[in-house]
Amino acid sequence: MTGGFAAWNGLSSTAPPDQGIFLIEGNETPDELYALAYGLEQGNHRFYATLSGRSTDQGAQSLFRMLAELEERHMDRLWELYAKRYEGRVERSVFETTVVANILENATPLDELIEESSEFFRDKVESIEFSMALETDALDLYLKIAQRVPEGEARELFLSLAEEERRHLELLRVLYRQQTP
Amino acid sequence: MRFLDLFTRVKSMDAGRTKQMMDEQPLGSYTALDVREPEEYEQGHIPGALLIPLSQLSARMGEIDRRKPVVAY
Repeated sequence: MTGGFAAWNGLSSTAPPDQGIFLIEGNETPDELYALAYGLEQGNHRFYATLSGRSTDQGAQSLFRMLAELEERHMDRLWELYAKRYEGRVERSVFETTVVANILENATPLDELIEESSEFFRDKVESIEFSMALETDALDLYLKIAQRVPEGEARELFLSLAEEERRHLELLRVLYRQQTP
Repeated sequence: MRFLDLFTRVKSMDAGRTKQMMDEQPLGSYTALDVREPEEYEQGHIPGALLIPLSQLSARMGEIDRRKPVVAY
């Protein structure tokens, strides 16, 4: 790419190269990978739901509520895919006991980021900026995980989650433009 | 395209064209390769980019999937 990164004006992640790599050893079973993916989506769902409850700005509240709902839909979709593998002979509550809990899609612990982020969501614009950074790091992590898992179902799973993050980012970009004409 | 590109399989693309290509292609169908140092990578990188500093590139070529186009920066 001519001009190098200095010329780049697309999405940019500031996650370190090894961020979240501890989550993947490369020899996980498909069940373990589903549990990991579900746990990451669940972490972001809880995070956005918490921010929605804490924010005093109405615009920020609605934004975080919308993002929490999107993450919940991902959880539902992952559960459907997982259940299909067992032809429905598995309970969601049992599956949920296996998930990697309290980790966000950018691989940081949930409680830690909630604490650190409390000052970043005073209004809708700051909330969008913060969410875009988080979703960009989630896209980065899903792509890195996809590179480390075997080709086939597992890789397709994480690439499809990365595509979802890319769609979230496009949505956030549109919202940001509307707020900052 | 630069004159020397006529003699090599490596093509140059500006950042705008690169972004357009990445937006149009499915994720995972290409490799973004960051050849800078880790400190630079942490200041900002293309999401999902594989970091292999230029000084290590020849020793770590095996990490790059040769079946896919590579965008190096």
